[in-house]
Amino acid sequence: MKNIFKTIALACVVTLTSTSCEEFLGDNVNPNQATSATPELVLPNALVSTASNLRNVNTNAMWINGYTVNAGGYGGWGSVVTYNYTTSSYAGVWTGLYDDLVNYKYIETASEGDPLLVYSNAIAKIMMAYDYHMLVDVFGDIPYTEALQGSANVIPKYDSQTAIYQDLVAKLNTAIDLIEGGEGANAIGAGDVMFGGDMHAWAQFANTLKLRLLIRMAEASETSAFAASEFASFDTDLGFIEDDAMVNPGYIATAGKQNPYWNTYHTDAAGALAGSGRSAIPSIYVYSFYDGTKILDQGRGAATYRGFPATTPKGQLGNLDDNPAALASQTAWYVGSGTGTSATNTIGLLKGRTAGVPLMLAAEAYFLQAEAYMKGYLDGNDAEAFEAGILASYQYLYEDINGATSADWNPETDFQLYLDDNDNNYLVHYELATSPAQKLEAIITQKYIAYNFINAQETWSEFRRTGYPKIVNGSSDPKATFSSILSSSSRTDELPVRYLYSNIEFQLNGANVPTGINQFTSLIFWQPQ
Amino acid sequence: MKKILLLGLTLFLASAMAFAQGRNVSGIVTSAEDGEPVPGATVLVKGTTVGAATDADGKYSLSIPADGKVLVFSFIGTVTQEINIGAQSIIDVILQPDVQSLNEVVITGAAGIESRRIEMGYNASSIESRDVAQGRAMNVASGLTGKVAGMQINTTGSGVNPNVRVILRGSRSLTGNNEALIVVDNVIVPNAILGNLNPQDIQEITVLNGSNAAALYGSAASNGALIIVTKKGKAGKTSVTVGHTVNVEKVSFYPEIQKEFGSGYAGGYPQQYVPYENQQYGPRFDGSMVEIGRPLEDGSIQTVPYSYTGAKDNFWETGVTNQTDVAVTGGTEKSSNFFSAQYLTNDGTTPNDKYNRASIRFNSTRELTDKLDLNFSSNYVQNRYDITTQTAGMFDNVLQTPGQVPLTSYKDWRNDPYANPNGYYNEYYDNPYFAIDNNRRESGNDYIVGNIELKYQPLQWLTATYRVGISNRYLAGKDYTGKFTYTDYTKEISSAKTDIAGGVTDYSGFNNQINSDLLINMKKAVGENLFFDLLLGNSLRQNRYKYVETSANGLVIPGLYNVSNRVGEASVVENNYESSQVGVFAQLKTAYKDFLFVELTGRNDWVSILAKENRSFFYPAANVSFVISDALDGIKQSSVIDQLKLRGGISQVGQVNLGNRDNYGAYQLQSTFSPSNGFPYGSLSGYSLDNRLVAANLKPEITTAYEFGVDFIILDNKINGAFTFYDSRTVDQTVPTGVAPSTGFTSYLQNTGEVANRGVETNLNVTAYSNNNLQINVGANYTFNDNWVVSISDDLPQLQLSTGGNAQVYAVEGQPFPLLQGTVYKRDEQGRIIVDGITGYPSVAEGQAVLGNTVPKHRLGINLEVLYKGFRLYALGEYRGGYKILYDGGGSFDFSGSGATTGYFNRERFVIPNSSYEDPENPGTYIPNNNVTVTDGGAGFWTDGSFRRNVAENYLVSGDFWKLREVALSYDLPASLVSRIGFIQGATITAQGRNLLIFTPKSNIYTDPEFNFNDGNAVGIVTLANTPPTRFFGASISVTF
Repeated sequence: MKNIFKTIALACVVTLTSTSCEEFLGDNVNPNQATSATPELVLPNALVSTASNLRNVNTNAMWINGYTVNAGGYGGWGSVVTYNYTTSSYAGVWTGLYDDLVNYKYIETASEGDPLLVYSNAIAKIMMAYDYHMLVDVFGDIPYTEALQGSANVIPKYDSQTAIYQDLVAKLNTAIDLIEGGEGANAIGAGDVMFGGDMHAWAQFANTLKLRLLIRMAEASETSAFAASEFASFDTDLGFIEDDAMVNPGYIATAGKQNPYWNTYHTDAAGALAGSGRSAIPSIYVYSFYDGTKILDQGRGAATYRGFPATTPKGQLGNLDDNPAALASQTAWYVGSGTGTSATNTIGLLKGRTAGVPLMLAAEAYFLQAEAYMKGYLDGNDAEAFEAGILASYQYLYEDINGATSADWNPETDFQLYLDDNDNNYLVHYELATSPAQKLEAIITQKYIAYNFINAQETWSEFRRTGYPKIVNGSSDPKATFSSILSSSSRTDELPVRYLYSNIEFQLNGANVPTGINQFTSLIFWQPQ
Repeated sequence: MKKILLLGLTLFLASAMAFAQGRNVSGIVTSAEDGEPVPGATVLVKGTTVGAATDADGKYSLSIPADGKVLVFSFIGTVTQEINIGAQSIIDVILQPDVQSLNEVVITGAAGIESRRIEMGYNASSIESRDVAQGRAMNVASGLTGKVAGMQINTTGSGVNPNVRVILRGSRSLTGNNEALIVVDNVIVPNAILGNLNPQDIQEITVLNGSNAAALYGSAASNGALIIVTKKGKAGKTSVTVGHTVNVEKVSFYPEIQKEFGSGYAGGYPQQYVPYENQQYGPRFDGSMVEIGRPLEDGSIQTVPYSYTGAKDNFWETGVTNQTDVAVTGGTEKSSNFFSAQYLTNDGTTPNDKYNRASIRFNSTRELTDKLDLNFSSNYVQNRYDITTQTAGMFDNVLQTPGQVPLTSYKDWRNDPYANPNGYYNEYYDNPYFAIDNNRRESGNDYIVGNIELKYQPLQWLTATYRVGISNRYLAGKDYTGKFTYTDYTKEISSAKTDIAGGVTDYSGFNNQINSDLLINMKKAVGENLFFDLLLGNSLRQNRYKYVETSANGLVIPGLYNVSNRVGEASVVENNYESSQVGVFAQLKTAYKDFLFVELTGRNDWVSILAKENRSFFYPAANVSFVISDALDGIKQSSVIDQLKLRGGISQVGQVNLGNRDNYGAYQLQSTFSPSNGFPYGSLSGYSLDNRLVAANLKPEITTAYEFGVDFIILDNKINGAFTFYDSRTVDQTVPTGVAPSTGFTSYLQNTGEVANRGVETNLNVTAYSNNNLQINVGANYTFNDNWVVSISDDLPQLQLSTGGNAQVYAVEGQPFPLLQGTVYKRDEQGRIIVDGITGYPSVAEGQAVLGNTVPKHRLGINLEVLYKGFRLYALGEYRGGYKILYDGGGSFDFSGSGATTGYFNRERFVIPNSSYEDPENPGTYIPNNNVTVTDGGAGFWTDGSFRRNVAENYLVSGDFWKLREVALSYDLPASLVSRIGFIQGATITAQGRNLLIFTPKSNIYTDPEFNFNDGNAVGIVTLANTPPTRFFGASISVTF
């Protein structure tokens, strides 16, 4: 039917027979896009999307919890330095995470009840818990029970954040049970771009994530009873992750296919410097945990910051006049040699274009355990877990792009040096912490250091929950606080406590979105003040 | 109109006239109706048999006998005129249509069916060739602007060959196509053809305003139609017309810029001068010498007077359009040929933007036998663009240029060290000349449009017509960004400057449409008073589209723009679409005594793009026309009323709105999965759910419309007018509504909602003065259209049609459509802006407020025509009013400090006008603010998002305007003069201008409200991608051999 003569011929017969009419009209089958996909095909894409989302979530939170500040030579900071958020300020966090979640939801639904797809189902549940709690931690109440239903419900109601947290824990329990009872299911294999199909690792990841949630629930009045009962039945035999949970689909040096941190902070695939790596520099506050002001960390300092300890540009958030510019053709978080496309693979944070993205560090697992042991939620040795956490942080930073420890960087040696350099400091020497408060401060401060540039939202949440790392409220000394000197916050710590709901929800789900939310006063349920 | 009649008579009369002697009188006879020469008119010396017939160009020459005193000019269908010869040797005459012949006026309507105007039960306007072409607009649509009631034409930008959007009777579809159907030589063509037709090729355009008129086109008819007929050859001597036009284009409306303050950035108070700063929040100009930029590597630094240069206005260049036309026409009784060619080049007001277009047309008619005619028309058009892809970025770069900077001296960025990106003074924004040169698009389209028609009339009452039409667009282009590596020195001192990796995207594709139409027409009289005309038809349409694009992100060798010259993997896109449609239709026209006409139409369509069970639908229509002036004796005898007709109609048509002009809506029924997030990675594949939901069982949108009206001609044909009232309701809108991201998706395609249009179309044409030499015609058309959303769905009271920015275009239940909603300041109950009692700063209210409707409710076109001897003056003014637009580029004006607004308070602390602050003693009550000034009246306020830039209401302006659309003064050189040069038959000189003047209310300091950021339905937002509006003026000459 593609040529004119057949068309002419058809004109004569089309009104006579309906079959030629049907034939002329064709079957309308899409030759451009897939109209169905298996859970196995969707999973790798969803995991890579989670890694990209984490990068975005982290980038946003880094401005708030003191990892990054505005570099000299850039203007137009607006709410980044004033915390004067609008409903459009963090819309990308909302949209990105729900967009990721719907893929996990698809996998969960498509694999539900299929004994061969149990692992896909379990992973989907775990990752939904991972994404959802990140949303709750910055937005509070969010659509949950009615969310992700597509056309079945286009104006999902908002659920209570505490109920969501409880259900996420239940989801993780189900996922662990599914994995443990999943014999006979199809192995995931290469499509599992995080654990390579190691389902025991997934179960441990779920257990660690559950610990993260339960610790946050343990001291909140509405959820403490729930947390206590969950701790009572906690499967400690399963254990927690001991290796970093890294996503890597095989990032390569091509546009759209690079490690997302590298792409955002270093250079794009063509070698052009990334704006975010130029407009952001480290804060004097976070740097004080490396340069000896509060802690001397010769090893991780050098692995984290270019020009450590002397020439790293660093500043104070909101200082529009005196903050230094980024180093020439370099970003502060890359410690390798070369620029542009000639930048070499290295250790530290920006290891290279093809490095994996950690969704969770083993260090965090240890620090979570340390807190749980210290507070008596679970039985174990908090001091050992604390030290293991710091060592694990060294190990991650000292790994090269392939996950191997480099010959020039010995984590054990430098950890020992760290202990020696700070022999009177309870933030390093857990045994010197004399009170539960000091112990908690040591644990959370070390988590803050371990997650520097890696997961700022998690440590911002921990700061909001515990008040650590310590800041001096109202101080304008950049070493004493990470709050912006242009803060418009009404709080004594001069910080925000959350994001505002996305304007997209106001536009399209206006009847349900909670109103009257204030970024300085509307607390997330686990935040004490 | 009467062309066929004219052609037949020409030869017949030419041979019948007697020879004459004596002194010579010559002249040209033209028709008052269309201004065209009248061939075959009789010129007789009164009381003698001495006479002549006008030739194919309406010219005559006559020897007057000694006793000849009066010339009598007559022609069928016109009023015979007698003129005293006196001493004149040149007598040009304009023949007025005879009232009695009004009933014979014929218009080409839907499916190419010619109907007499009196039969038509709906509003239709016919525009002649001259009226389209006189202003020498580059495209046909622009030439129609303001001329037809009910038709709104928007030029959506001011670049070279901008997009044009033609809308009849408002928008019926929330998100689907609302643009009028375009039919060229009876074949439906894609809308893009409209922007590429040579206006000189047009014979006649009929505007079928409503779906009643166009119902025969079925699912394509809901938006009304433009029926374009191109020129055919004229029987008689072959003539050649050559013409040339030069038009100059200049900015007609500069955005208002502050001229007081130079470089200095946000945050410093009092303002400090910063030599390399883009923002203009520095100290007041004082004329002293200042440095700009940072030192070059050799230590030199540019020094300029610290005063305003005006360079931001001078940045825009003078555009030039050159257009050369050739037309050849000729024919015999049995055949005719028309050939035309046009070549047009256009340099825009954006530096280095270029466009050219070449077109060739060949139309031919053949009478093969007594009963069989063969006609064909063919058209090839080639256009080529060489433009920047960074129009918005370039405009922003201009705005980010402080007033003391000699911007226009930076053109030669390759050689001038101060213009080169390495030495350019501006730390943060590119040299706009560099941005232009380094980001280019070289693209082109090749159109082939044509059709072949066979007409067979075996019996007097039976005609069968078969047509095949094709329209093919081949497109290809390349977008590229040059690679630029900064020197180490530059990178060292300017941390914000980073290397440009470069890139190239190469694309090509085609868009192909084949139409086949079979029409069988039967006409039969029953008795003396009844006449039946039955039309049966079948129509097939098939569309195919293919597009392939390859991109390289990052170039290796500078200057080589080929996707193989790349870093990393290439990215590729492939799209294929195909859709088909079958229609069968019937139309029965019944005439009673030639004054009562009833037309019934039915059509059934089957479309390929819907599910099998939903793809067949039927559209009925009925129209009635009642010519009172022929039916009632009292009026028939009236000396005042020449013709009075009442008409009315009702119709129902459906439009399947699933996609756009490229994808035709094919394959839209199922949700899709795509690789995203960089997938595939080597052998690892990954797919993710796309963001669109699709409702099961989508149906077409159904428009039910009725209209009624009156046409009248009075006072000896001196005044004619029409009034039409219409109302349309379109239900089952197919809408990819935005949905909350928490659903997991962002859009949802469903049938929901109803849109209404109600309005009036009126026009009045008056021959204000007329004698033999001078005629003055005045015309006006006025349109009122109320377009609103009746409902959307129970769940969704509103849907969003645009994204990004601080205000969006929405459809909102119960509100006008389209509607702007956006952010506004928090206000108290009296409407005063609430400011902070200490800082003086306002804040943004939560949610989206209604800002206004974005399409004019009122439109008025007024035209004046003066004919004096060989002179013709035509002027057209247009008013549009009753709507608002958002200038989305306003934020850049404020951020940069370029905008005039930023200087309103001299950068001093000021009290926000009409503001209040909360009474600290009585929370919830507000005290009028007379004394709390903003903390910073400079950059601290104007550049701030929360206080200023993210508040949409700050950039909301009235869309009202008056434009002097068109002025054309033409002079036909007298026959007596040109005939001295033997081979020249006629010559015309024209001076013309378009969009010469624009008047806007004071609030609009930014731009032409006619522009829009795209050519879709989200009307109402103008961005920096719309460069300043322009006027065109120039001259043409046309010579006929």
